[in-house]
Amino acid sequence: MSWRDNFHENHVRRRRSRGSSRSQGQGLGWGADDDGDKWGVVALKKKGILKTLFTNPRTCIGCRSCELACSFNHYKENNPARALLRIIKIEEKSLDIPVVCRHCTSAPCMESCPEKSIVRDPRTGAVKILQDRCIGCKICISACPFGIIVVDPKTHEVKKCDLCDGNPACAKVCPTGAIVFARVDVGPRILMRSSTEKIEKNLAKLGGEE
Amino acid sequence: MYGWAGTILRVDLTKKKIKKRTMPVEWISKFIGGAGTNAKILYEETQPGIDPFDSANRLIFGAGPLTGTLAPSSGRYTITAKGPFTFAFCDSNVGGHFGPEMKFAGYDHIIFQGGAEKPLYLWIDDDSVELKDASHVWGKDVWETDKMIKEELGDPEIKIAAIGVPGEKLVRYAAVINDWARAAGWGGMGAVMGSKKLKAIAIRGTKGVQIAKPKEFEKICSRCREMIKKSPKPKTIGYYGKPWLNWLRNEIQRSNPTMNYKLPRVPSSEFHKVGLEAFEKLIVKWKGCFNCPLHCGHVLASRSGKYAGLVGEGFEYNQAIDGQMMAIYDLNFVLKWTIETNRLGLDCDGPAYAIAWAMELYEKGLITKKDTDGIELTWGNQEAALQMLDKIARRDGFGDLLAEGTQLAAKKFGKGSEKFAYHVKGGRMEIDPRTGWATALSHATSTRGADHLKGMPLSNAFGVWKGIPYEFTDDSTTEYKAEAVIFFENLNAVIDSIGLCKNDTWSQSAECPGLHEFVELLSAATGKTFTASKLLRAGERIYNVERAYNAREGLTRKDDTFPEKFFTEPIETKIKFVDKGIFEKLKDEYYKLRGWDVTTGNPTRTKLDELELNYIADDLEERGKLPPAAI
Repeated sequence: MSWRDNFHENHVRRRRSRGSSRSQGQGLGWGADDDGDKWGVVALKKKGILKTLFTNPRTCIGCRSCELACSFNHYKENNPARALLRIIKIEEKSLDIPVVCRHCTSAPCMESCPEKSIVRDPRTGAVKILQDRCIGCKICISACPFGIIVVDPKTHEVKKCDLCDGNPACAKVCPTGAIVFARVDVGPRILMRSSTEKIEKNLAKLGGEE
Repeated sequence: MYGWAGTILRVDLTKKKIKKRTMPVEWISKFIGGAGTNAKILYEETQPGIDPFDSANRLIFGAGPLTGTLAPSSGRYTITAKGPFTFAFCDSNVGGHFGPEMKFAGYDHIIFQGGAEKPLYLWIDDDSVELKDASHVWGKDVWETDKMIKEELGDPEIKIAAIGVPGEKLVRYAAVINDWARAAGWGGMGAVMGSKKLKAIAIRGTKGVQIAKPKEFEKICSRCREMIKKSPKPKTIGYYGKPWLNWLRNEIQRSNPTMNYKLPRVPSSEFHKVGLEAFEKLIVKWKGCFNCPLHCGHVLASRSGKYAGLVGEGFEYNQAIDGQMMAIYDLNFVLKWTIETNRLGLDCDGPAYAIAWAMELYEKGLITKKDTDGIELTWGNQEAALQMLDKIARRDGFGDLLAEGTQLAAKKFGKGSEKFAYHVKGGRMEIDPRTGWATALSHATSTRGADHLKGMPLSNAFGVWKGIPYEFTDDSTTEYKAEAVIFFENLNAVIDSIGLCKNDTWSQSAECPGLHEFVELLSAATGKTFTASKLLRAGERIYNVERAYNAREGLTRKDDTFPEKFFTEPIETKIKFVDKGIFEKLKDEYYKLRGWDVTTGNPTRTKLDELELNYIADDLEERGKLPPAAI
């Protein structure tokens, strides 16, 4: 077991199982309310707006337009180094894997933050950092199972995806549908559809000339 | 500075000194950046007659103002130097992620001068730039070098452009490879890099490219993306990639280099093995360069035959031809060839054309097994081709001769082998000029040897620009052809200079973003005012600098020609062969429209003055290369 798994086991899982005594963002209107909606998702579900990012590594072409669009939307500059998502390139295997914030239902980053500065935006469902409360301890970076929380190379602030206020630039710009922004229940079906392309083609061949 | 990063990095490898200077405003207004400014720097900083491998040669990396921005397909940068096999002006335009990273680190151009004694690599981490020892990676192939440097510097996301053993051994068509599979193939820039004992350049950039009017810029970029989406490109290049062109050339235009031009095209009985259907079966997924909505690259897998199980970033038009040239009609081999050349750090075409030349000599009995170190260079021999490739990469035995490129190898070898070496100004011919008149003219006059990316009309953009009906595929008459070639030469110079790709711009599709969009993109990105005609004028200026460079090297009109074969042997196309009479008349028209001297084909003082290149006119005059003023 790596130190990170260890950390996760000891700090995040355990806390999660016994439940946090301090619920998220009390009294701030963020996320949690009193009927035990610990992760702030029940309220969102009621409104039917819980949308998140889905990725499909099979169709990702590794162009990094998403990184660029992300940095442009947040900082008005072309700078993938500041992007809040990454395309991980594994050159040996010619793989391009989009790594985005999953905006977890029970978010380890939220749980691990000692200052409770990570909250769920009640409007968009995004798990986001309240920058003025963040003390820059970077514990969330270790807690995140995907390592998607980053330290900005310019300001050295801890940053994470905020779903661009409900209209993510990465999904908008992706030319191949490798990043999809969809309702949590619709997203999987979109991916399902894209995986049937090959079958479609084979069936078309069967029905056609041959 | 907006758009441009604003800094030029100069690395003196002899003195191990690094200097930075701010980009002069005059340069960008006249030459835009990228390939344009590169050409200007090369002209001004080198003397004519130098050996390309001399430390006096320059190696210039240049990114354009739109490189690394939100503008679609902005991953391009250009490497410029005096070419090792053309012995003239040479540049090589590459995609991938290296060019943008250069801009993110804050540099538009990197100029290498001098030559190191011991192998070095350059490590650019934003503002901190240092030359590091590369003896531990010297002798390693490109992929290993990439892995080792990333490990050494401790960041797997560093972008690296490197050379392999062929570059070190000065194989004249060695490539500079970035991102494992993006090659600056044409021109032998890898050999120039190797002659300077520079193994690699590693960059990490976190500064980004600033935009003058972000909101406007974003709008134009999404509009350009929409244009590309709606154009026919995604269905052709976007699906099949460049092998689509192979089908187009073979089946529609009916001219496709095969068996060292022994055959006019791939015979119908063989084409199904290399055609689109065969290609489709190899596709695993698609790959794109930086910020490209079109993605012409693929990950391919060989599923049958000798190379079954081989997976890698796949080939495009050129490699498909490479197989045909050696009479190997097997896409699995082509995939193997592509992966090997990428790993070794070779241009894919160089060795293929050299081996094809040797195969023809072998068939004719001009060379035997004795010359080839026991390798049977018969047509279609896959094993022999791969063995020879390895020999070329190491300049071992017969490979040493082939590593010179067909023109020089034939000159060295003699015995009538020159007849089978097909080249223009030393540059191998990848497209048959007998296809049509614009093809012939653009290949003959190109500044970097026979080349289809300098001025060959590949879209109807010329008609759109002039407001006339113009169908580029109809290449059988000479009407408008000289004018069209000039238009495309200038346009392509602009595209290479602003840092966009030719695939999804006017250069290859009139439905894609063109000059008008470039103007909007550049104006929003840089905050300066541009007009379409001003851009084209800059393109013309750049092309004149390139031509003047060649004039200074002693090239003239007589070099704008083809080997005898193309003037006499007919093929199936409409024009059958390049008729000398018509061809010379077309050239006359071309030089006149260019404002160049018709006798020598060199830029005149009038033209150079008009383009504010007086100092180049003075320089040519001083060297006796300026044509006398027209009477």
